[in-house]
Amino acid sequence: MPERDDDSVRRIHDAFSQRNFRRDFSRRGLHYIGLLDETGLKVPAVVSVDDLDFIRPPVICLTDPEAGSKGQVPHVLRSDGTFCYLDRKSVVLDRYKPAETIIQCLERADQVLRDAVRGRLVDDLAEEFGGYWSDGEVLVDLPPSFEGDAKVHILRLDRDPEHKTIVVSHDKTSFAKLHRRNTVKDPGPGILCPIILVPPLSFDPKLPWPPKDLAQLNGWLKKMAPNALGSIEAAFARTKDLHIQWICLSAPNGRFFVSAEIAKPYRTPEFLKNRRASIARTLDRIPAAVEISGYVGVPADEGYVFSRNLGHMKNLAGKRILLIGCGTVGGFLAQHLAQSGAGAGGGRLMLVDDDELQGANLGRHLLGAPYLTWNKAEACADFLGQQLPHLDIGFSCDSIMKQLAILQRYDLCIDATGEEALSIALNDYAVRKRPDFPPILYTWLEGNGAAAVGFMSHDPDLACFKCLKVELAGEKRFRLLREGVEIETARNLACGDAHYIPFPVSRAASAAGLACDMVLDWANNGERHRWRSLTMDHRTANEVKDGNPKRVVKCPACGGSA
Amino acid sequence: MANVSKVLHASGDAACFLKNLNIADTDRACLMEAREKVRDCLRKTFAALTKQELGVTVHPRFFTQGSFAYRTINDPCWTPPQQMDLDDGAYLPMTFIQGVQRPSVAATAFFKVVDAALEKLAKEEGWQFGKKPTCSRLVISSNSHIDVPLYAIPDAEFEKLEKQMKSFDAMARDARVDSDDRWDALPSDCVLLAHREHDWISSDPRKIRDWFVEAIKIYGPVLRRVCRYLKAWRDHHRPHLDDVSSILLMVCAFEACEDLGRPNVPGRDDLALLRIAERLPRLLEGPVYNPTDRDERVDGRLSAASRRIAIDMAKKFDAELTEIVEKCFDPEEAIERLTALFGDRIPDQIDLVDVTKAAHAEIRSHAPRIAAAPTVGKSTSA
Repeated sequence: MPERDDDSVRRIHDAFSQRNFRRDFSRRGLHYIGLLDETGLKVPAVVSVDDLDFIRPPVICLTDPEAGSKGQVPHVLRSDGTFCYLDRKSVVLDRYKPAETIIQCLERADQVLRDAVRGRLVDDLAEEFGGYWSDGEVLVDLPPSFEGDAKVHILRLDRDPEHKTIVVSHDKTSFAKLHRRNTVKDPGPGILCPIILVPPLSFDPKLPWPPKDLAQLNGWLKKMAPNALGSIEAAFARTKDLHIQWICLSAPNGRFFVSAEIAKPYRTPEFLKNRRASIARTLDRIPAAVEISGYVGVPADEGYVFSRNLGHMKNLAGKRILLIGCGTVGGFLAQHLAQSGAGAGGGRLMLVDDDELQGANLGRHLLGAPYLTWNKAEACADFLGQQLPHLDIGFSCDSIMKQLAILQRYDLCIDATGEEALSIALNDYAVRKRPDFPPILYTWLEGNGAAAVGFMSHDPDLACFKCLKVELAGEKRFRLLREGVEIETARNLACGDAHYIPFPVSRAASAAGLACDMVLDWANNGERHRWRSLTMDHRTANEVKDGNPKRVVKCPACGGSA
Repeated sequence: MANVSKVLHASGDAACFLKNLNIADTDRACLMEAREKVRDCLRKTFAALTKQELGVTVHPRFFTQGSFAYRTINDPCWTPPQQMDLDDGAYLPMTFIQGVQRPSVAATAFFKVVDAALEKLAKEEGWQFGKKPTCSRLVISSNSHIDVPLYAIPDAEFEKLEKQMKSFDAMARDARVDSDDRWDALPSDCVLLAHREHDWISSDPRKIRDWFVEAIKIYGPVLRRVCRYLKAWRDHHRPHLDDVSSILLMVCAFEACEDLGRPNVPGRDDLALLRIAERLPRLLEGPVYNPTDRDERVDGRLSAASRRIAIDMAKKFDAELTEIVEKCFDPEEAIERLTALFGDRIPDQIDLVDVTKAAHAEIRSHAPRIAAAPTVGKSTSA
């Protein structure tokens, strides 16, 4: 809408004029030059408005990042002076009030700048230290408290031979599996990388930044992390032949890696081999001969990956979970469980299915063409193993009915087959084995995906699966489908499709979501309602309140006669 | 108090000063026809030359700049010597001039080819040919001329331009747009202008044009009209104000608007002109910087003597306009005084002057101060 844009441009101009900013016509686009905190620090800045919808806040660059301050100002990226004054992930700007939004951004920038210069943001400087340390990243597959010797591995996590990832781990890393898969080779032994615990890291504005050689690095370490001083030299002395060495400074504000490389002229056998034992002393004399690069650690250990998104909730690490059925609902559920940590921390996620993935499945299954004709359990285990190599995911291609005894080895069994007869049989087995039997969660869709249901059965005082419909031909205890609704079944004989029930992929994903929530509640001892439903098509299904149905006396599975 | 805004500018068929400043349709057609002849002549010249020298045919591209492009052109006040001026830049790829980053052939060699071709054309058309430091000039009539400055741009940019032109030419079949004026893809920092004495100099006319387009977006068409009134005032007072360039007046008008603040720029043309005229003497004292390059001054050509005259005349202009707009109650007198200021193209129609409405006290509206929008945290995610 160009007219509205023109109006925005005029209002933006008014806002900048009010703040004595001038439009910079030497560049294309909306750029304004002026002073931040114009009555105090008077820091020159260029503000660029490149998004009139304000999805991205205006970019503020300090033309003299040190004006008005003594040394580094937090929130300024060292590369181009970009000033981070607003966290775009936490604040939403008003595109209908462009002028007010500009003033808001400028006032916010003034405030951040004033706070920074008055030292109120010292913590920010530490928090953002990574932004100043380097542009490179290293995946860290180590628990946060790890101290001691780790290894740096250069791995290929995907098929692109050019795309290599630096992974740091203690001894073996689960990411090595992917490297093996992509290269058909074991990764090398890795490069020694001592992890040294240090206090929070920050700048010393008087020293050159970032350190480019060992002399500069040591100058900075002396002030910021004296206990790490000399650790590069020591690491060189401990290894043979290599002209490269790593250390990691593990601080409360992040893990910062240093890779030290002996400059080319010094890479002689005499230097690297014969005098290796005394290399520390030699390097001390020629510190500028060692080039330094910085990398920032990005956590990728399982504790971090599987807990980051759960807030105060516990994840599924350490639990032994058996999932029966890796069809549409089961496939998505397997992924949800894996992403919630099932199979991590000594736990196991076991997938069971005796069916194969066919073309007919592609429209609503987690998996796609690369897995056609694979057994669904094996395929899901393979796929999830690639996505989350930390996990222990097993599979069985046999029917669960042939291996009922394994059920008791798990902390939780899930039946996502949606096969009523199989569920009844499993339920019967479970009830008979009580109390030495784990809880079973049944999940299925009603009608043509009109509603999803999850039902957890364990407590002998409460309903078992059969209690939900005592007579096979009788009424269901909770009638979700509306009166008279007919279930549409389909059959494409020409395509080799036998009877199936059409429903869109979205309904299966919702059912998997409902079931995953119930599993997480179980892991957090908050089972609340054992019977839950999610009505998705209100034309064909009613809403039914969640609850804890009681046992039915005449139930043939758990009732008095059983 | 006289509201003379309708004398200056009126919509529809009503007579007004601005309409009298417009160039006649016949003159415009004549200029356009001549421009096409010049372009054709240069296209043929370069096609033959490049075929012979390089084995490939290079077509120069053209870009109209100056008042024609800004739509601030006025019909000249005193002809002769004043003339309408159409600036039509000719652009060629850098390697044609045998250099990759900078032309290795002197600009004079480039001018030689163009001068020869245009001189021949002038003879055929009965025009006068002339040389200026940065262009070749063709005087096509007693009241108009075409200037052709020559530019070199890097090949890659030229190719980009060609591609863009082609796709734009295809679009232009449906939409009536001047395809030669689409230059968005070309970076500004690599355009070189041929100079007869200083060889090649960095210069890109598009920056100024872009600035003016953006300035009009901000302040509206009243800014363009005020620029035209100021140019008319300058032209009427020849030769005293001959050294005051159009670009200097345009930048002064813009700076005055910046000083006022957009909400305070009056909607009435006479008041807008008055507010700007009030600031003109101070602005002419200088320095006045090029808005697209703060290192360059647009008042640099003014000698100390011309500047003194300009400031003096601007003061008189402000005083006189203040008298007319704020103190005069006689329409006849208002017209008379405006004519003295701008010349006899001020329509001699007293009914265009409104002294009754203007007598009402003008309430100066002050734009409310913009307050910061409240901080609103995010509550949604995906």
